[in-house]
Amino acid sequence: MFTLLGPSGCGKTTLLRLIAGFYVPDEGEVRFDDRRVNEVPPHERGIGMVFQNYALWPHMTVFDNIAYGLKLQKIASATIAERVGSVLEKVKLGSLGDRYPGQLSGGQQQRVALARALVLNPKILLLDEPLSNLDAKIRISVRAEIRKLQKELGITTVYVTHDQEEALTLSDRIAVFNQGRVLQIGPPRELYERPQSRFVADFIGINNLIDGTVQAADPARKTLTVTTAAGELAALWDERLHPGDTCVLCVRPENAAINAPVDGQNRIKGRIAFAAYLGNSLRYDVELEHGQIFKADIRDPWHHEEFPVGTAVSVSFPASSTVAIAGDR
Amino acid sequence: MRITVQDLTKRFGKNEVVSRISFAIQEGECSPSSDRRAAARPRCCA
Repeated sequence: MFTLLGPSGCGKTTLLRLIAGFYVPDEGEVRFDDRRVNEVPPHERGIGMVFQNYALWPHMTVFDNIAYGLKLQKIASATIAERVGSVLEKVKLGSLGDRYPGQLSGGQQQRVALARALVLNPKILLLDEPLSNLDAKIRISVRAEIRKLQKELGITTVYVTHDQEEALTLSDRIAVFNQGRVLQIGPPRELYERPQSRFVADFIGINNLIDGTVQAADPARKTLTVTTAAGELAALWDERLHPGDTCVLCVRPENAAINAPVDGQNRIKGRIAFAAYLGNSLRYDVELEHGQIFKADIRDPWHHEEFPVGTAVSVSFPASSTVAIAGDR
Repeated sequence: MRITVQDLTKRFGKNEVVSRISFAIQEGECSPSSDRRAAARPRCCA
């Protein structure tokens, strides 16, 4: 599954609609295999589409909603019944064919919308924020079903979302968008662990971003030495960065430890400014000596006695999880 | 089916909403989890 991820208004839905054929591009082209489809209308592209608001007919039963596209194609009633029955089983709504959309939950309605897209045997499935209207628990279960179904059917699928957790969970590859441009394309882990721009580092997950200047580059030890307002810090070597270059260092809260007796790591002093209990972790905001807030996680709050606000602490993190990005990216 | 998007641009009025976007999506775009982990391993890892 290929995901277009970005904040509201970044152009990801416009791109999906260009692929679907609802918009005609001003420049460039869209190809399905070797065929240019710029001027091909949506209904001739072999796509199935699912929208955020389900777009079901409220006066039609589940069965009739799903069968609608097949009836337009003048397919025989017996074949329609067979195909609708089969797709209802696939989305686990086998017994609800006689219900109306208003009698279904949000998650069930979205599964009807998915069934309606799949019943036409599309070559390409386009999903536009399909889970945004669902509550948190239902969203997790429906997204697992979408992922399973997509793998089983092997349909080329483009998924649009602004939810980075959803994108990380579902995708084989993600394209991160901002202001109409693709900033980085890669598998979820690559985007999370090796962001190539400040925007991607900041948009995907939580990151501590520390500005600095490269002091030294040591390819043999795979490290950079970077001067920052928090002191001299070591980061992962990057061949694109050289002494004198400005850069931003990225450190994830889960890679930082507080008052840990570990040698050979980056270490910064500060004071506890805030503590947020998140259930499976405890997140501290540590105010560093130069005023920046640094977030650090305690991964086992059950066995951790919370530091009071104002406590002087040291935060440590290894160079191997400190990523340097060129300052102009 | 493979989707290829090449230098795609869409304007609404004066606003360029999608600017010169290019990428390709392979058929199915899914792989076994082990392959996926290998493919996802950061390339600049020591």
